[in-house]
Amino acid sequence: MLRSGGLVVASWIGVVLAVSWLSPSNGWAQAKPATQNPTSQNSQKAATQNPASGQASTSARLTASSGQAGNPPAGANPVKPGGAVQDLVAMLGGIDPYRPVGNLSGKVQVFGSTAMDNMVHAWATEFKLFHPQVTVEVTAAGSGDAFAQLKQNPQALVMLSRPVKPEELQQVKSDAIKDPVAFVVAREALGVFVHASNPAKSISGEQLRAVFTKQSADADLKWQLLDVTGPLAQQPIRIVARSETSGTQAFLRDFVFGGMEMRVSEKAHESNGDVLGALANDPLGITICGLRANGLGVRVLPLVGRAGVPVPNDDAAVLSGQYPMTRNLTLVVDLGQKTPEAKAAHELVHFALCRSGQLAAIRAGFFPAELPTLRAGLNLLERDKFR
Amino acid sequence: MWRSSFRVAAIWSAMCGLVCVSALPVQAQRFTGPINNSSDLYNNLPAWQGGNWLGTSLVPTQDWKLGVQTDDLEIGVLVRQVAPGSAAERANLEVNDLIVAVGGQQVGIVDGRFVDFSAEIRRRADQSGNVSLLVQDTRSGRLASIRVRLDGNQSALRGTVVRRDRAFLPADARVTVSVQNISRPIYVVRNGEATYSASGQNSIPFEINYDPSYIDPNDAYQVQAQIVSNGRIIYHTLQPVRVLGSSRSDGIQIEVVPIQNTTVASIGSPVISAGYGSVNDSLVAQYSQIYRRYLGRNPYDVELAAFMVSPNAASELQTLPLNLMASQQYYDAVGNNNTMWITAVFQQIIGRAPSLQERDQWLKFFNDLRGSRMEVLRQLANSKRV
Repeated sequence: MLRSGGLVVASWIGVVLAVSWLSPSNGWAQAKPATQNPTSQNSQKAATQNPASGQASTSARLTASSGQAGNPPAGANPVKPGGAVQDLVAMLGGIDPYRPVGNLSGKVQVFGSTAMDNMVHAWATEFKLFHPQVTVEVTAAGSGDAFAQLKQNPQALVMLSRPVKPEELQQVKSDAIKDPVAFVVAREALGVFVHASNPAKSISGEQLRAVFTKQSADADLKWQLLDVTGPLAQQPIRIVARSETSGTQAFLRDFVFGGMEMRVSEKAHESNGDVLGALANDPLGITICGLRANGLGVRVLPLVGRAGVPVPNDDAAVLSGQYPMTRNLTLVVDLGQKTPEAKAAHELVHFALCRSGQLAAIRAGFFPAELPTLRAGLNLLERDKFR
Repeated sequence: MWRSSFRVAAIWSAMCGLVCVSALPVQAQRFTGPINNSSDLYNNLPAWQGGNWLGTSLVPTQDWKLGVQTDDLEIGVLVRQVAPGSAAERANLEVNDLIVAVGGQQVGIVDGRFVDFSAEIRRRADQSGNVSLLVQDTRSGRLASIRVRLDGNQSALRGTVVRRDRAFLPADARVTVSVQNISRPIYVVRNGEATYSASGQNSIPFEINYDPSYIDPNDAYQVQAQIVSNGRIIYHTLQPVRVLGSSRSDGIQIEVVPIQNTTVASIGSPVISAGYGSVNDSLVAQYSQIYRRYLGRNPYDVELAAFMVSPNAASELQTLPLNLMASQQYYDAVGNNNTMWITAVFQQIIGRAPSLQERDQWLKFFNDLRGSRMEVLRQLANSKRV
């Protein structure tokens, strides 16, 4: 009984962190908790239909684009780690080191998100240094495939490039699957992008909802909504977005806007690159995209955080959990399985939650999960008796 | 709690040790004692009791080399030392093995006359350096005829690692000289690394007997050296030397300079100041270079921080190119579909565009591998090496 309580807590953390900034003091507060949203099946379906599109949203465009603040363009002066990096080093140092447990053997099967493929491989490679008898086999066919695979292979580990809702875990529960648990293992930061010439200073959660969902009337959708003055104020805001079936759009609808109907883009773009390319040619455009997908001719609009002031969109803000809009990447495993293979799979989750695993997540292009999330996951594993 | 994390640290540092310093004391012994700062180090070799490194001619010629140090006996030639990475090691020769004959000719002291083993292997090796040896195995006592592919003189790089300062180096200081592929840094050159003791000398002679089958004529190569003590790099090379291709392979001079934030005691106790982590500016520069090459940008702050926290940064550099090519960012950048991605990584790893047939073959393989990008990259890298 106690344990299942813990289960719900951990999976709740996974869901809630994405919208954790929706506190009453600013506009973010009005988002409904994701669990009340009736569209879970839609999102599942969307992900199944277009597994490739979900992964693309984690990306950045490879151009000669400069990085975000603090990253000079490619080919510039040699990189010298500065004070900001030292701060990040300290934060990463706060993640628990991995302490291997037990003698493990067998094959761990991993299914799911293609976007997480290289991260899981990096984990597997390092994991094998501690557990040479364990082999890891990864099948990356998309997040939409994950739960179906778990039902077929209860001892497997499945990966989803999005948070997991408690109902989803309930649904997957059966005679074969006793105790499915979701662990948040990495994050992707999302940013709001506008044309480089756009004078808007920042955007709050409330403004974000007014712009991107059908909560406000179409007629009101003008740049004055974002406190823009001057000639642009009376001009319409144009949504630039990927197709509704893309993973990013499904995530935004289900987890950021609480299932509200979203405005659609005039043209459904294929990839993040297309989205930013279109935005660079549209002074009235606005879009939500991976924060790392910085392109030429566009800029990131700072998000207004809990304190009512804009949060910087740098790595430290994301890592420390200040940054309001992130998407959690999740591993799901059935802790009820006790076979050697399942134990090895559980231990791989343990590894992922520790420092080595989180460093590998960074190398794979993601952000680490927040420290409290990692701890919650570790505690949950710890409490499970078999370890 | 404290104790177990300490244990992890110990494991890591042990692994780092394996990676950084593959200590090869055998070769180091060859040059004990001070050596003059001479360009021709082979004329300044201290006398070695017990024999020569056979085939190491003072005059570089078309000679062949087995890589053993021997004593001539009346029953044959006794192996005293086996050079790491040498032809002898590849042929599983061991210390105390007895080489009785070369290509049918008995060697050692034969009927009171001296039959020079090194002259004999040069004489009897065929054009590609193959020679057969009759060897008495030290363990079983059995005689066996083995065929050895000798190391050619031309697949060795020789030179000196020079320190300009006169600082005292601790006894455990080791210099590692390595050949690196600059064009495609993920390729290692087999046997392309040699480690020697560095203490007490300002110029350290080195010789790398790399495996020539790992050298691609289209690629550029460099050598660089670093001195490691107490698990940390204390000297490194600011300007690696270009080698192979049209460059010379003899008399290479590599200068190493102390790493800034490290203090090396100038006199007296061999104390190296404590610093945290093994990541230095040169590693960071390499790390950033790989990011620019594969993703067209410098690493983000958090990526730099992850590298600096990493317990085995040096070995991480080795796998970084594959990791980056497997990343979503790279995948999107090259066109966001499997065909374009396969074409791009094939070009990167193999060094040319794939034929239509090759492309389709790898695409099919990609599907067979259950859509795992990292797996495809590893297989591609392996296919290149075979």
